[in-house]
Amino acid sequence: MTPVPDRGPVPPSPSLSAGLLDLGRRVELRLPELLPPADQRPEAVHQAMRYALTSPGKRLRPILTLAVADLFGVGLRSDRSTRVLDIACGIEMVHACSLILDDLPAMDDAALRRGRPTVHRTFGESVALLAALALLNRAYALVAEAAHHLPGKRYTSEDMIHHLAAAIGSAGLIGGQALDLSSRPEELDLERLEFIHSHKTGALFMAAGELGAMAADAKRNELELIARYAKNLGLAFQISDDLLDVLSTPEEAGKDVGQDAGKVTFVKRLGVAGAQTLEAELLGFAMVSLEPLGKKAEPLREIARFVQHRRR
Amino acid sequence: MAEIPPGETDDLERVREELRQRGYLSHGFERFLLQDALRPRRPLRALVILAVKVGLRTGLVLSPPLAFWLAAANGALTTHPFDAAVLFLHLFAPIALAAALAFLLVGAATAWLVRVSHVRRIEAFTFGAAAAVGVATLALALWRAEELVAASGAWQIAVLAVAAPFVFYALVKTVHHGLLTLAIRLADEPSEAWSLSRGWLAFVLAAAALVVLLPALLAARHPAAEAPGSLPMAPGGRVLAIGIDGVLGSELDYLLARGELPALGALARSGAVFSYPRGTEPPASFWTRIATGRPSPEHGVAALDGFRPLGCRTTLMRSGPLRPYWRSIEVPLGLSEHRPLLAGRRSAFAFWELAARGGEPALAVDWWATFPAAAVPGRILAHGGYQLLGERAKGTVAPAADAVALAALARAAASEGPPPELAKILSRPALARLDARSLAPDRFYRAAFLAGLALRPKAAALYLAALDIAADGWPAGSLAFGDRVRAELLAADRLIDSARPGFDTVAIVVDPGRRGGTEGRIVLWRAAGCRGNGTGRPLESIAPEALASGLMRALGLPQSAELPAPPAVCLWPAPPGRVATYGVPSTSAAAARESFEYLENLRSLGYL
Repeated sequence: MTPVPDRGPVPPSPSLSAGLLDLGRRVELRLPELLPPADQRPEAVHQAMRYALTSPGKRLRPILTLAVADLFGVGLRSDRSTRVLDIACGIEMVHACSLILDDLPAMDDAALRRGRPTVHRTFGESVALLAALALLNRAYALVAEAAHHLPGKRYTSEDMIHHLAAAIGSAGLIGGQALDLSSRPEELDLERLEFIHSHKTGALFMAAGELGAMAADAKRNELELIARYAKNLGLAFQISDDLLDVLSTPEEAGKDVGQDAGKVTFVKRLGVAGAQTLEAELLGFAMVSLEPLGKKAEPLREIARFVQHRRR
Repeated sequence: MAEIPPGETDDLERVREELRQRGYLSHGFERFLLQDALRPRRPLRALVILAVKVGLRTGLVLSPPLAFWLAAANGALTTHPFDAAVLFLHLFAPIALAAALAFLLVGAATAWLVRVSHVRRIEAFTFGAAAAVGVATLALALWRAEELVAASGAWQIAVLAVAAPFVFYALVKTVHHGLLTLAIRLADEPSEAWSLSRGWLAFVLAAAALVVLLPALLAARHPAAEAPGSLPMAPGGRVLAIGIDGVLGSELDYLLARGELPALGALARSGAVFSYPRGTEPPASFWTRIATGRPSPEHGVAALDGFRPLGCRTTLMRSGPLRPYWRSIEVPLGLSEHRPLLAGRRSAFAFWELAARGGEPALAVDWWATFPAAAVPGRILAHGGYQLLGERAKGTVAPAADAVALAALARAAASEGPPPELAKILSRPALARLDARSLAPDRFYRAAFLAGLALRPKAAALYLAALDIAADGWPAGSLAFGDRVRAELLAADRLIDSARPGFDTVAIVVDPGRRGGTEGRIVLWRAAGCRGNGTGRPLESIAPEALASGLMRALGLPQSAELPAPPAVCLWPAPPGRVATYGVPSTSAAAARESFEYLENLRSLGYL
């Protein structure tokens, strides 16, 4: 076994700026409003949905959606921003759904998520499955309704729904998870590893950024810049996740660590130092991709810096 | 503290490179197309945008090597290397446009198949389609670019063989990504596991292209053999060759059978008559085959004309498959200038030029690829000389001092006027135009040829094109044209009767020209004898090059390894030796002179 270099005393996890934290808070406040009441039938499913969705998360994906929309001129206090907020919440619901499914015994069989017992450990597998599906459907409904009321001229609501579906479907998140489960470590070459990460993690990051841009009616070339940024950010985020799995304690990470022991990751292929270098390069490139957008893209750069230094 | 289990440690740079290819850490082109896969666009719009992108990228992939190759094949790469850059600018737009249109078709077909057949292995399917497109492009290039390959030197072939696999790979990859993007967009299916890695795929594609290309290029190339310092010559005999264009083989057979061509009939009965297959080869190329014994593109006269793209210093006499583009698009748009075919482009000696090497006079009148007239002992009246003398164009006659006398003959031919029977059926302007374009020139060429025979040339060649030119826009119906065929052949027959005495070998080549016949006739007579069938009907089919080989042999020249054996039915003198080649004429001086008069002449005669 190769010993991992000690990082020394763990510094506190860097925080996002007040502006981005405010976006996160708006998401936190809005999410419960978008769910059925916990005491409404079927109670167990609704409680599981709330449990999964309101657990303390970073809300990085919805923050990304809101920050991108803000970048392209959707004022945070405008009526339009409420629609964008719902889209961002839809993204977070998809993410929560993926986490529930990911933690199931048939998949990663995780015990901890966001510092709490996983949904299936709390509510049982069947309820966890139904809650995940309910969150997914709620997300579609939210995005469809919000997109329908947005006044953009470049993208239709159908475009946005199709985009989200592609990011989630077998050509996106589900495809990545499927390949991850079916791949034996010895056959996991770099190409497959990238496929898994880009689909399992990157696809939703890209969708988060691009839906924000589409909601703000950004130009095509601007959409492309955001896609490039989010693509690099997504892979860097996954590498940082792999690093956390190796370098953190469960308390620091807020979830089980060492889960990747039997898996092939960038950390295993490159070592800790190599993976950290690659992560930094990807984030650096993500920031460089934003150059044409000027200083107003600073919140997005801040997200990239946050990913690099995060501890959980 | 957590520990990392042992595992392979990849080289960071290798991982970086792989990620770059997959769209990370790079603003490169890899995701240029694939990013469209998840774009929210309607299928038709997606197809159009993809076609534009594929077109642009294909233009970038194919234009540079093609420009380089064109410049190299036309000799401009060393003299005017900047021409290659100019050619790139000329080629990029049409190639991009053609590629975009082609992708629209292939993409539409792929989209239809993906939707209708529910193709699941879309990555493999689109790769197969892209590979088929690549192979088809490669095959087309090899088939249509023979002219360029033949003219390429060894180092150019080497560069081509090395570069082509990369170009092929880039093309297949571009098309593959375009089709894959479209398929993902339409199928909403994940691409199934792909067994070949990118590296292997690149290697397989490049290796396949190299395996196909190298032998094909080597086979298509015709390296110039080293010419001997001097040709061993036997005394040989005198050779007369007359080419008559625009006459169908069946027309000649009919008139010979009726006995209406006494001189030609006598030659046919005591000599031998052959047929030869006739395709769509341009007249300049075909008649140069007769004169040199070399096929196209080896003799260098593959077409009637050349082009000078705007900004280029060198005229492109070899254009390969791009000729229709220069002619039909660039010239009308003013982006390219027409340039006439010049004698300097001929890369093989005509039989009269070889005959004159020993200092004996030669005579050539109006034969293709003789402008500007080369200075050889004897007299050369360049192709289109009738009109060129009227324009006083330089290079019409060699030696130039003979131009005055020939101009007088031309005026006399013009003043003779058209045959009276035509005046009864044609309007005055139509008759004047017909006479000026076709009838008067041939009257002049016959007179000039007879006058030239006074020089007692060892080799004499005359080309008569009145019927071929007259057929282009003939104003008076097929019956009248039949009469004209008879009249012109009778005039030629009288000429043959006058010219024949003193010649040991006479060859009359009757070609259908632009009238579209599938075969021509060669009447070959040798004083030494030919074992013909005595009927005047064709004995067998031969290659035109074999006739030229016989003419060379009759002149006392050695047998060239580049030429086939002469027709076996005639008796030929033993050659004074064998040589690898007769050599290549010097092109520098003649090629440098260009004449707009000659170009206009070709145009007025309906050749361009």
